[in-house]
Amino acid sequence: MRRAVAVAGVVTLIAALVAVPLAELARLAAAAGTGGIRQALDAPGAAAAIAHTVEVAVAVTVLAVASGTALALAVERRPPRARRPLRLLVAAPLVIPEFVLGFAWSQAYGPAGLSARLAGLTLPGLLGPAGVVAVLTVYGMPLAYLAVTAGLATRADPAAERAARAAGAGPWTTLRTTTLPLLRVPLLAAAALVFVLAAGSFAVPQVLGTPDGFAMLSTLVYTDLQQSAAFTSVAVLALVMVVLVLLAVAPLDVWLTRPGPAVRPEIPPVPPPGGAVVVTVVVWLYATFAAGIPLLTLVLTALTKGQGLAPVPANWTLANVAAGFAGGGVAALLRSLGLALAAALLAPALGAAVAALGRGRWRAPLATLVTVSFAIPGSALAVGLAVGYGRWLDGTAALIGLAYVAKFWVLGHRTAQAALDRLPPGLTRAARLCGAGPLTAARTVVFPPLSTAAGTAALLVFVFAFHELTMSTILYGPGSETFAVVIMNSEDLGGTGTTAALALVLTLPPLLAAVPLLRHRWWSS
Amino acid sequence: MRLSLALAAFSCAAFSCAVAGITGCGSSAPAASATVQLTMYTSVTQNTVTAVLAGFAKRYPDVKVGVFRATTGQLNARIAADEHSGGLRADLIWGTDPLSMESYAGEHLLASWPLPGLSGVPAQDKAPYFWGTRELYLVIVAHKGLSPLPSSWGELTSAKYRGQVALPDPAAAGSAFAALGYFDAAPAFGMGYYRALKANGATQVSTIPEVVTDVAEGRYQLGITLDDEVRTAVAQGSPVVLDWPADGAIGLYSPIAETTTGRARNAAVSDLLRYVLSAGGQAAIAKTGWQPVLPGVPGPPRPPGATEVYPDWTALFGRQQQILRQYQAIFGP
Amino acid sequence: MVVLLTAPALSCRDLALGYGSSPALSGVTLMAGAGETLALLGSSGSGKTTLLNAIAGFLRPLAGEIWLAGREVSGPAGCVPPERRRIGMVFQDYALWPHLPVLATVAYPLRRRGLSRSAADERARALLARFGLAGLAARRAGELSGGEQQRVGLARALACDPAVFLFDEPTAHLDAPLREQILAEVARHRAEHGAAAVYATHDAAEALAVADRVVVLHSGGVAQAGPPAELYAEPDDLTVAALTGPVSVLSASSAVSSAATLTIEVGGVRATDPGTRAPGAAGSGAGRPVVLVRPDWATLGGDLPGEVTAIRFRGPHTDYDVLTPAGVLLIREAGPPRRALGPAGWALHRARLLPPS
Repeated sequence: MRRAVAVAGVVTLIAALVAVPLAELARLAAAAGTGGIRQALDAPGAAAAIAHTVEVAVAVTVLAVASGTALALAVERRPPRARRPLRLLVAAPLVIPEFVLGFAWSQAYGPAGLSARLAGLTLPGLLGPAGVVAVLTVYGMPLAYLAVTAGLATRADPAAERAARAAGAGPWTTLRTTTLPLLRVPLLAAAALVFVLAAGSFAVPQVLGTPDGFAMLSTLVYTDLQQSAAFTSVAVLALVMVVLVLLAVAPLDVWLTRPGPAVRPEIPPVPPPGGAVVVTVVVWLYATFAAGIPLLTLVLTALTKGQGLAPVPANWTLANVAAGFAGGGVAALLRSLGLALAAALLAPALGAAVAALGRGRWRAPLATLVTVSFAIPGSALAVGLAVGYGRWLDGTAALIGLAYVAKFWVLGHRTAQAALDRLPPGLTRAARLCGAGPLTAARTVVFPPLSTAAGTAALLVFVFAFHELTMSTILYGPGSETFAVVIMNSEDLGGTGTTAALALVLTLPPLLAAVPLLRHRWWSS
Repeated sequence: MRLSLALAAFSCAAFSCAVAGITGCGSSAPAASATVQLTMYTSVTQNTVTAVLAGFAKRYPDVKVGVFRATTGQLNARIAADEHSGGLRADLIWGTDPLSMESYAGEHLLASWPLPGLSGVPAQDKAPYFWGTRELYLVIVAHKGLSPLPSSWGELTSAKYRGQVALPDPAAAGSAFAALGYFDAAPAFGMGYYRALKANGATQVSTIPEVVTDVAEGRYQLGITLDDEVRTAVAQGSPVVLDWPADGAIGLYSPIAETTTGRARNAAVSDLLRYVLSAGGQAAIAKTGWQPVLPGVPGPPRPPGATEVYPDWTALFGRQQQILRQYQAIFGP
Repeated sequence: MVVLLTAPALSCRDLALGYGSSPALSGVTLMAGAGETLALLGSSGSGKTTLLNAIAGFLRPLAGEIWLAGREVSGPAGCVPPERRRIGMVFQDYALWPHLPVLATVAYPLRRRGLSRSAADERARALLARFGLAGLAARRAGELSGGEQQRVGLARALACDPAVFLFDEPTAHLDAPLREQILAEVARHRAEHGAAAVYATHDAAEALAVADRVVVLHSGGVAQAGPPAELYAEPDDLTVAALTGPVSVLSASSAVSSAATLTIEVGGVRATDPGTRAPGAAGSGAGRPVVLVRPDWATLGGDLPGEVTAIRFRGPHTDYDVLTPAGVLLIREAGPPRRALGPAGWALHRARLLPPS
C-alpha cells in the first residue's frame, strides 16, 4: 500500500517532467488539425530535414556500433594493465562537449583550418552531411564501445569461446558463431543508445551542417523558433522527432527490463588473433585525430589575435578570453554551474527513487518510463516544456533546470539500478530482523554501498548538464543564458578566438570529472 | 517505501530552493526601492551597448539596465515567445535596421516616440515610433590579396568571383534585411540580383560578423557586411580589406524605441533614449567604431569620395514579409 | 508436583501463504517448543522460504495465525513488524552488508537495541571469539570465504538474542566439510541457548541430523510431520519417502500381512520374514502394492536372486545397486566393498508397504 503511494508520487513527478511536455506537443499538433499538420510537414525543408535525420542517425549507428564492437573485442581481450590506458583513450572524445568537438573539428580540419594551413589538407565535406556523420560517429563510437564492454564482462563468457575453440572452430568462426550471438543484447542496446544520440543531436549539425544548408530536425526546430516562434509547426516537427526515435528504440526497453546478471569472476579471455601493437597504434591514432588535434587547434585558436591569422606565437594574445567573458559571460558561467549543481543533486535522487521502487510488478512499467524519457529528443522536450510551463516559467533559469532534470534523471536511474542489482539479496531483511525499522535499515544498510553509485551519477549529470546546449538554446531568455548558449552565440557571430577560449572553459569540468568517472567504471552493469 | 516518498519530497523541496536561488541570482539585480529597473532588448554589438550604458550609469546612477543581446532573428523569436506567454518584457528595443523595427510597430509593441522635441537628429533617420541612433553602411569585404577587387555591387555576380561570395542571412541579421529591401526596390537590381548571385554560386552564411570571419579565414574571398566589422578585423590584423563600392554603400540607421510595456511601467526609459541621442551617448557610439547620427559628433574615417545610397524606408514598410519570402524562395530558409 | 505450562516458542495455526491471490501453502499447522529444532524439509519451490518469511514477518498470511512465545504476531488482528519480533535469521546467501566490517556487522543488532558503540563492540568481539572469528574483525564480507561469511551470519543472528532462530538453507553454498562445521556449531549453540529453531533444507541427511521434529512440505501443504526416525522408517507416501532419505521402490505381485509377519511376493519369490512392518490397514485390495526399502533394510548374501550392477565406495559405507526381478534395490553396507559385480543373493529384513496409488 505504501509502496503504491510512493510509486504514484514518483510517477507524478516524472509525468510532470516528461509526459506534460509530450502532451502539450500533441495538443498543439491536434489543435492544428490534419490541415495544419500537413502544412507543417510540407513547409520548405521539413521533408528534407526528416530524411536527413533518419539518414544521419542510421549511418552513425551502423558506423559507431561496428567500429565500437571491433575495438571492444580487440581491446578488452588485452590483459588488464594494458586495457586501462587504451580504454581511456577510446573514451577521450566523450570528455569533450559535443558542440566543442564539432567546432574544434571545423577549426582543425575544415577549410582554412589548422591542417589546411600546415599541410594543405582538408577533410572534404566536413561542412555538410559527411562531417556531421563523421563527428557524431566519433562521439557515438565510445558509447558503443562501453556498452559492448559491459556486455563482454557479463554475457560473453570466455568459457564459451574456449569451448568453441576446443571443438575445432577457428578464431573468426568463434567470433561469428559464439561471441557475437552472445553479444546480441548489448549490441542492440548500443545501437539504440547511439541512434538516440544521433537523432536528437543539435550542436554538431548546427556547427557543421547549417553552414552548408544541411538541416536536421533538431536544427530546423531551432531555426523555426528563431524566425517565427510558430509553435504549431514546431510542435509537429518535434513530435515527428519523438515518433522517429521511439520507433527505433523499442528494443531498448527489453534491455532495460532485464535484470542485470551477476558479474562473473575474471576468467582470462582468449587473446585475439593479430598483434597487440596494431590495436595500440589504432587506438592512439584514433584518439589523436578525433580528440587530440582538435583540442590543440582550439587552444591555438583561442590564443590567436584575429581571424585568419596564423596561430604562431607572434600573433598570440590572451585578450580573447577577456572579450569572451565581457557582457553576460561570467553571469552565464555561474548560472550554468548553479543549474548543473542543482540538476546533479535532483536527477540522481529521482533516478534512485525509480530504481528503488522498480521491483516486482512495478519493474516493467517503470522501465518503460525510463526508456521513453531517455529517448525523447532534447529539442522536443524543450519545446514541450516551453509550451507547457511557459506561462509561469518562460525565459527563467528554472525552466532550463527543469529541462535538465527531465533529460538526465535517466542517468541517475541507470547507475542506481546497476548498483542495486549488484547488491546481494536480503540485506534489508537481515537489517530488519536485527531490529532496524524500514528507514533505519535503508539509511544504514542500503545507502552506504550505493553512495559510490550516487556520487558517480551526480558527477555524470553535472557534466552533461553543464555543457547541455540543445534545450538551453530553445529555453533561455533575457537574464537566463547558460554558458553553452553564450558560446554558441559567440560562434554565430563568427568570433572564433573568443569562441575557442570559451569552449576550452566549457571543456574543463568534463576533463576534471573524467578521471574519477573512468576509474569507477560507471558504465558496467 | 517511505524512503522513496522522502526522496521524492526532498527532490521537490530542493528543486524549489534551487529555482528560487537561481532565478534570484540569474536575473538582473533585484531593485531596491530607490533604483529603477529597465529591460532592454538589443541587437547592437556588445561593446557599443556596454560603452553607452557605462556612460548612462554615470549620469543616472539609480537606474539599472538589464540587457538581452541577440541577433535580430533571435530577438524576433524572443519577442514572439514573450507575447505567447504574458506580454513583452522589454521596456525598450534597440535594433539594427528600420524594417525589423517597423514590424514590431505593426504588431503594436511600440509606443509612439516620446521625445519629439529632441533636436539634432536628421529627418531621414526618424519614424513615428522610432528614431535612429547610428548610421551603418553595408560594404564589401575582400580577402587580402584578392585582385582585382570588385568596384560595384553588380560585379559580385560576375563569373570571375564564382562561388567566392558570402552573404548574410536577412532572417538573422537586420542589416542584411535592409540590404534586401534596398536591392528589391532599386530599379537596377530587383530580386533578379539575388537570383544572379545564387546562380553565380554565392553562399548564405548566418550573421554579419560571420561573413568577415569566413572571408578572413579564406573560406570565401568576398562578402557583404557592415563597415565597422571590417575596420575592427583590419585593426586586429586579419587579412581582410574594406572595399567601399563605387555606386555607394547601402546606408541604414539603427533605431531605438520605447515599447508599450515601457510606457506603462517606467518613466526612466525617456532618460535612456535621451542619453543615447545626446553628445555623450553618441560619442560612445563613435568610439566603438560606428557612425553617429548627431551631426556634431565625429565618426569613423571613410575612404575619400565614398558615397551612400539609402532605401526608401516608408515605401518598404509593409512589404517586409513579402520581400523575405521571395528571397527565401531563392536561397532557402 | 508442579506442572509448568509454557507457551511454545513458535506456533502456526492453519496458515495459508502465498503471493497474489492463490495460496502457495495452505493448512500449515506446526509448533516448536523452547529448545526444539524443527526441520522444514522440501524440494525447491515447496514453500520453505515462504514459510520462513511469514514467520519473520515479511509476508502477511492469507489466513491463519502465527504466535511467537505466546504472543500473536501475524493474523487477522494485524502483523507485528519484523524488527519487533525477536527472531534471528541465517540466510542462504549470507546477507552480509558489504560496506561494514565483520565487527560492525555483528554489533549491528546490539546497536539497534540501544547499546553504545563501545559496549556493542565488546559484546560483538566476545561473540566472534566464540566462533573463532576474532582475527577477522576488521575484514569485510568480500574478503571472507563462504564458510567464514556464514559463521559471521550465525554470530550476527546470535547477537539478536532471539527466541527463535530461522535457518534458510544455510549450507546450500558450502562444501561438505564446512557444512559439517556449521551444523555442529548450530547444534552446540542451540543446546546452550535454549532457543527454538526452524531449519529449512532440501537435504534429507541434514534435516534428520539437526531436527527434533521434521515437517515435510510438499504440494502446497504439510505432507507429514514427526520425529526424524519416524519419518525415516514410516513415510506415508512415496514423495515423503524420497524426500527423507535414499529409498528403493520395489513392486510386489502380492502381499499378505498379519499381526507379526508380512509376506511379499517379489518377482516370483516369496519372502517371509518376521519384523516387517506394514501400515495400519491390512495390505489387501486391488492393484500391486508398493514396497519401500531403505538401503539399510536389506543385506547382501541371502536367498533372493539379484545382480550387483554398480558399486560405489563412500568411505564409511559402500552402496550397491542390485538388480532384482522386482526393481533396482540400493543396499548400503558398512565398510569397504566386499562383493564384485555380478550375480549375488540378497535378503530382505524390513520393508514399508504403501497401498497401491
